[in-house]
Amino acid sequence: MTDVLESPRTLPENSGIQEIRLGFTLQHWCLWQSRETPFGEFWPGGEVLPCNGGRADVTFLPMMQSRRLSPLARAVSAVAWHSRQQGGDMPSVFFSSHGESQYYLEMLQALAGGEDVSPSRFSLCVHNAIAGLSSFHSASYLPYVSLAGGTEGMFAAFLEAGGILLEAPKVLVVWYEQALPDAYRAYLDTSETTFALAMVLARAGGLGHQLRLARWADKGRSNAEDCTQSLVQAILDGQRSAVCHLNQSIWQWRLDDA
Amino acid sequence: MENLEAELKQLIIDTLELEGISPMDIVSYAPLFGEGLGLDSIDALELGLALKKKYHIHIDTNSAELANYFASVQNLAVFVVSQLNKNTL
Repeated sequence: MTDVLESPRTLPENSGIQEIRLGFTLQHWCLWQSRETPFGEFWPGGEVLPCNGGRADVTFLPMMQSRRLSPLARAVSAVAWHSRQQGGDMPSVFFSSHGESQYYLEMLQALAGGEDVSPSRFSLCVHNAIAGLSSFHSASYLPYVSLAGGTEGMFAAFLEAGGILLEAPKVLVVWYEQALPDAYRAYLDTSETTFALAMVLARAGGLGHQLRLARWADKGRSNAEDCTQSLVQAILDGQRSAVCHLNQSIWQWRLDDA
Repeated sequence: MENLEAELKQLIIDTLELEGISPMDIVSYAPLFGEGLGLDSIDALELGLALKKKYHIHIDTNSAELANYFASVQNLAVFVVSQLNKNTL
């Protein structure tokens, strides 16, 4: 089990600072984003789904299942479905810093205006709704978790995945974000692009590229949102390693050949 | 009543985002929920809200007749008319 989540170590250059190391076999990745993706030297072993005019294609779903999906939920549904086509059913970890921010802002505005709240919008804006729908779409009976923000940003999903891999042979990690509504922009700057990234991860040492991550506590120099975008861009640029400074930690990741 | 039924069918399609379905596809007497059009409980709540907004009618959610009112477009039209008549009294 130590090949998945190793015991805390000490980095030579940061004597006395606890470090966590994670190692995974990246079996597959799948990305959708709301803008056209120019062909490039992407990471190996994955695919970028067609932009489809800014609405992810979910024609694999019956209309009665797809009709209520928001643009963000469509993106998640598409990458999760394609990944399960490749890797079969598996437990899953969903992560988004802000989830359906447009929906819950609209609901708050309706409530403030004394209006009734749309029941379907209410049911779909809770943070685990997208994960639940994806599980439903795949007729999956395996567990899933839905994580929000936090000091570790999307890297929290890798910690969770490491834990799940102690009991399951592989795990689906899905990470999705969209631009925040204007009302929040003064407080937090986010990308204009909606995206969903799925990764099928197995225990380290398996067949496929090896994704290694290390985390150590530190005073950060930027925020998690910047790192979010940089990892997606790294995948598209074929960049194999990076260091990401968060508010309370530093994460370093590297993708090695099998 | 036929005009109202046509109006309700369009309201159902627009409110519940039934892509690819036209009013002609909805049979007035066919069940809306379960085996018929296949709507679910969230749809019922959403439809109730849409009726309230469009016709300014009151829907008593404790009424024992509620399920019957929402059983088909035909029943819904009868219900809407009865409520509109109440409003004008």
